[in-house]
Amino acid sequence: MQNKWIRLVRGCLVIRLGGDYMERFFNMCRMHDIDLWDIKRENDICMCEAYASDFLKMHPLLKKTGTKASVVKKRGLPFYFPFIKKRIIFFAGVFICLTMLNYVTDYVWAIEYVGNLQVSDDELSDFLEQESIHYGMKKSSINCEDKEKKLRETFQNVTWTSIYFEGTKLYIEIKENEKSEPVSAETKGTDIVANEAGTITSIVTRNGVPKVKAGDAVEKGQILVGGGVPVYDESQSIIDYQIYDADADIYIRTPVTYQFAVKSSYPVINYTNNNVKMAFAEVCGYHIDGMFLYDLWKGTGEHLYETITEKHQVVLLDNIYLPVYYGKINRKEYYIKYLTYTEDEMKLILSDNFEKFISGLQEKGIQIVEKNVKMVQNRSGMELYGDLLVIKPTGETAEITTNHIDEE
Amino acid sequence: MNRRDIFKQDMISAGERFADAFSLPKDMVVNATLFHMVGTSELFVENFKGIISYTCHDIIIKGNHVKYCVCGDCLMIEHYSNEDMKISGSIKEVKVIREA
Repeated sequence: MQNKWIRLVRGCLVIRLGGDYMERFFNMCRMHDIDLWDIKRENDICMCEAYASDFLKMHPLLKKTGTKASVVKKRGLPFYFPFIKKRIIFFAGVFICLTMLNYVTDYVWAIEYVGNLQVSDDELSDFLEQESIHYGMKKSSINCEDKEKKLRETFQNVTWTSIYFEGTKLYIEIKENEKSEPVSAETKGTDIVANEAGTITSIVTRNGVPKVKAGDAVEKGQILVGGGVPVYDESQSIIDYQIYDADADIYIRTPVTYQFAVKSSYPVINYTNNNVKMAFAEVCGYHIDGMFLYDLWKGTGEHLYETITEKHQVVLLDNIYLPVYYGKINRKEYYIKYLTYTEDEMKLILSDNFEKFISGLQEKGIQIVEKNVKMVQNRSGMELYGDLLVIKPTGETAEITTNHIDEE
Repeated sequence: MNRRDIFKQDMISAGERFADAFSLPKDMVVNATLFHMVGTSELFVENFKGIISYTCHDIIIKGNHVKYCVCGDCLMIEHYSNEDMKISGSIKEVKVIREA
């Protein structure tokens, strides 16, 4: 017994039979390997179905048994061909569309990063660039396991990686170590050195040996707290050093200079009402819009434009990203007009900026001891010079040099 | 029963014994018609020679030296080929009609 689908593919006929020797006809069909199905007796006639290709074979049998046959209905694909033939362009379009879809789904058209908190998207993008993974490359050319291994090697705080595809989208999924800094088993020891020259106002050491005291003048790069703690013997001579990471709160009084200039003339953008909104499409990197034709029609001049582009990628079934983009372009025409600040306006801008600078320093915990501010007007505009004396936290860690310990 | 019929009967029973002895399918050895019925609505018939008559209420099938009558209502031959046939409908009775 054959499947209904096979019958539809081969094409079948619903036949009405009439005559006195229909049983004989059925038996003869059987002998000639003609399959019949759905044979139903209705009074004197009989309805049955047979393959379209077998119908011609029936002719001598019908003649022999005196059975009359008429085709009631035609079913199946062969009878659909004339319909397809009339609409060949439509079906060719569907076929080409499916072929194109099949072709473009072999490539990567979107990349998404999942689970990265410490490692930024830009860093991951750089990594992919190094590994020659980019949009529009073939999916089969990416060895996911190999890239996962390389990703783990490149980023030390990444503990687990998974690179996989969903449709045409490449997912880079990572899990990071919750401890932001890896704990090193062995400390090499660090000193604290001065960031800038000035006078130490206070020093509270938690770890290490202080090398300066409050009131000492220091130079930039001078060691403030040493990480090497000397070990003395009974005769108070140094026999060894214990190495630590120096840790201390150190405040320094140091001068800070500030300078800011304002030009008297400044540009202002003025929009004309000549706005153009237009749709566009981008297929495989080819941009299609009517802006060129519009400019040709309207006549181009030396105009300045601000263009806002809204771009969307075509996505099928949530995951199949195609290299087809669509969106709209909003082009606004503008011209630049230069205006001039008055003296009061320039003073206001300079003082506002200086206030912001001061409040920024205070937010960082920097105390301002003295400040001398001077505004100077010149041809191009106005400048503000500020000399400040501040008390600020200082000290940056630097590795202990062996020479330095040896000198001691 | 004449001598020829007795010989045929003996041959059939010998064939059956042979099939039993060698665990062979009996329908193949003695060329018997095989009926496979599913409930009362479907009947598969294999190894038959043809249809003698067909109406909505009975179908007479020719087997090897024997006829079978399938009685019922709304009988329909769902499939009819060289190898097998499938009868569907409300089957009431399957009778064996021995040739005189």
